Amino acid sequence: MSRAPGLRLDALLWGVVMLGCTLLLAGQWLGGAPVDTRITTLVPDSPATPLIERAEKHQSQAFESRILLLISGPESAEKLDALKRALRDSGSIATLSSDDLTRPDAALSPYRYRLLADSLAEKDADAWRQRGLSRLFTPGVDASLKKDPFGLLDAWLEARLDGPVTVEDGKPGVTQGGTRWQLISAELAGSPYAMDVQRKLTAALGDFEAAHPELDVLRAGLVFHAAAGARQGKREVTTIGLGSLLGIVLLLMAVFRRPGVLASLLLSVASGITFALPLTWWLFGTLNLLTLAFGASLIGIAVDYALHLQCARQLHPGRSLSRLWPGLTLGLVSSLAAYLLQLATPLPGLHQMATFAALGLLGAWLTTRLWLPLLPQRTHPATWPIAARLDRLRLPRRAAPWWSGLGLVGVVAVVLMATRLTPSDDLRALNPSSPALIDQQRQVQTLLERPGGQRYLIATADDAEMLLAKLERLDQSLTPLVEQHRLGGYRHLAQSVPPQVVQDKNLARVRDLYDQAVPELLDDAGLPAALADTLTSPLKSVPYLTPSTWLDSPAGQADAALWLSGATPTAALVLLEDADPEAISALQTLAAETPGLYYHDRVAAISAQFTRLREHISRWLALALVGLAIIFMIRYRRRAWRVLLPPVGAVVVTLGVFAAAGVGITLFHLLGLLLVLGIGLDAGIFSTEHPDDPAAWLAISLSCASSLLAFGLLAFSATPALHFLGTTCLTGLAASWLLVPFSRGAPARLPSTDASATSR
Amino acid sequence: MLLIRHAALAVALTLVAAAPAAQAEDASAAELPAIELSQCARFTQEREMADLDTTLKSTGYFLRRDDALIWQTTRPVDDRVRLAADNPDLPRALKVMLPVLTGLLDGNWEALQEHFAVKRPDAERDTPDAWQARLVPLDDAVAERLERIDAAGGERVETLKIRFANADRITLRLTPADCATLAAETETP
Repeated sequence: MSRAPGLRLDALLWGVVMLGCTLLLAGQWLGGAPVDTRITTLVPDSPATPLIERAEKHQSQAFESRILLLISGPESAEKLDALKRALRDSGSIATLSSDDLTRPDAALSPYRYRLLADSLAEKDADAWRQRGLSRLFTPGVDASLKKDPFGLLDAWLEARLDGPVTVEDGKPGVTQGGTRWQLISAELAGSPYAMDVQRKLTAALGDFEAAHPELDVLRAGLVFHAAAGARQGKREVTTIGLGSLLGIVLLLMAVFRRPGVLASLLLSVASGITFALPLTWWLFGTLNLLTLAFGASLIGIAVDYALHLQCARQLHPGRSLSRLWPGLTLGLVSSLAAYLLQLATPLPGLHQMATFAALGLLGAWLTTRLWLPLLPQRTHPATWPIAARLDRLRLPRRAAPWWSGLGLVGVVAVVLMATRLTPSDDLRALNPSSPALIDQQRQVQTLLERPGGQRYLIATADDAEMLLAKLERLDQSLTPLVEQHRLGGYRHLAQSVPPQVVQDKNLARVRDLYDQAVPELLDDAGLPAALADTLTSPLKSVPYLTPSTWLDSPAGQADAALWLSGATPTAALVLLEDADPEAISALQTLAAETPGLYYHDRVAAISAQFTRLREHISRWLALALVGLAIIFMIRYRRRAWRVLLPPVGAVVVTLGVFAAAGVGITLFHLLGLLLVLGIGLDAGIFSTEHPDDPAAWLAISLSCASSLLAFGLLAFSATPALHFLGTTCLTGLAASWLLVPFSRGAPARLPSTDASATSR
Repeated sequence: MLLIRHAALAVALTLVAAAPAAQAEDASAAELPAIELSQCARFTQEREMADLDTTLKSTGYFLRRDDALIWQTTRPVDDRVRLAADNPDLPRALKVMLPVLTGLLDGNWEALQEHFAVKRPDAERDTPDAWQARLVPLDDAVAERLERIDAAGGERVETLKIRFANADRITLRLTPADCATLAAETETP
């Protein structure tokens, strides 16, 4: 084997680059360079995007650490205390908001004359007088005749709290169909993703449920989904993850029997990641974990290069490696072409993923090219017999029936694809939570009459006052939708903090009614008429209730999610409940026609995003294949089909299988197909370059088998996205491997043609 | 998300009398005088309003009907309130005070001890015919509104003095009455 000084210099230079990348990565890591998990970064920027990001962040901060529990059954009220104790003792709960002792009305007290509930505004002076008298003579109420003879604040709070939650015996809950559900709402002691919080909480709840099997316990909150997801993830990491790792190690050890070879394979993949990670991070400023996860799996193809090199060195220790480079280079070019074409799409998320995968492949390829030949090599006698035995798996000379079978499979698959293949962008299919948990969450929402708010309007204005006025004006469009039962309901801050114009109007109406009702009230109650001045004096100067005053108050903190202050423009959310399609289109029209108003449907937005990603990937992939076909035709002429058969055939068969099984194609299936295509291309190229070389066939088989173990086993994952990726790889890689013998053809029919090819 | 926020708000706002079931150590239920349930009674009520330095007197009667307590003021005004958890027109504060009020009228010490420490200021001199008890809220939320309740009576509760945190006071004096007569009065107001 030649070890030219030039090669050593290149290897040294590559070592310097690797060192630089490692240092850059360490710097980024230690310097806390931003990591991103937002799905919105996948979409191209639109005028509303920063707003939506603010809204999403705000929402998750406000809600993600809350939980709700509903308990029913015999003596549930008594057992509730035991559960509360258990939750407190577990250390997973910071506060039990349902035991909140803060009196909410104190904060609103000075502003009450500017807050007029509709129920009171509609009544006349006589009704006000009657209400005042009733409050005066009913025992048990600390009704302040001086401050609030007509119970303005009570009426206001009553209207704000028009919900199913009632307090019985000092315990909040809901009653439905004769069943009393006790309610616990709590704030977690940490992040819902924190393992110890999840563990303590689920243990405390689990123990309680085990001790009281007669009780029904319903739970709602992000932490339960996160905990279930983490449990599932952990289980799968230990079963699927360890299983595949063990499988790959065993497979490679069985073939090569040299730990050094294994290490060299790992080295090439590791340097691919070391090359790609810091550069992508640096190029894009942030690193999106979603794109990273899929980019990393695409780098899995990188192991191909090292496999081909090591198989050749093991089986032909004396032969020059130069005959390998054309195939390896073409393999790299074809994969780079497929990925880099994604840069032409307008989707930032795809750019990052493509850049990461392309850089990773390049890094792994350079390591294979520059470092691996320099590593000492010791062959093992067991490798050759394995390759020889594998080499017998070839098409016989008279292979007509095989070809007919293949043709039939191809035709059936194409027909199925054309007639039955459907895309699927339904996010629900991707929800990793168990149906039981989703059902519980839904039951809680139904009982509390609060369906999950995935939709909202974002309103912006120049200042807070204009924004409140804008929100209040929206009532004219939204109330009819609610009255027609097209929209379940909605919430915005102007309901709690009316704009100043409305507060002025309210105060004027209150003054008017005070003037009429107070003298009569005093007269009826037998109180001195002189008290009238005392009663009306608080109305002379009444401060405005402002958003900040309300949001800073204990009761107003719950509205924090509705108001996005602290950045320009001032923005607010209108949280929307369930809406029918007509209401949705009305909301969209409203947003389109109103300047500074945006409609956002979280689920629909992500679904649409997935659809766009899926369409873009398919389109550019098809284009890349056409381009590659041209390159292959230039190099291989009439043998070009041999290169294309394993990757394209595998994709056709996989899609045919999914069509036959009625599986909708999601973005994750497509990402799996990218991997299948990459590995299939390498297989096609090498089986065409070296049709009679057992080393190439061994490397192809090992590449398919290790990728099958690494990604195909994900088919057994209960997480839908991983399951889809897995089933695709399982079917596609198996098909790809089975198609290689067709590419290779019968033995010794096509002599190796690239003896003249040199790499340098 | 929306539902959590809303429920939290609702709970925060409605929860004025949520009390942990800590038992008062001051007097056990067994030591407290047995009181007959007042199905109905006539009352005189004095409401002392500290900030107005005025006392408001009223008279009337109450009686039980189904799950509700009908509170009928006859003087100085004619006003009837149906005290029941399902009455949407009741002030929220009163709704949560309702179990306390009915517990007092029923002499249901066990129920009251969930919310109050029941003390016997003059236990030695108390007899079944003449006793006194002082109820101090266990729970901060109740204590924020209510300072204490003094109850006195014999076979039945006869006087209730409710002292609110804002220094207002309500004194209720109850006299037994014939329920049928009151019921008839209620039917023909």
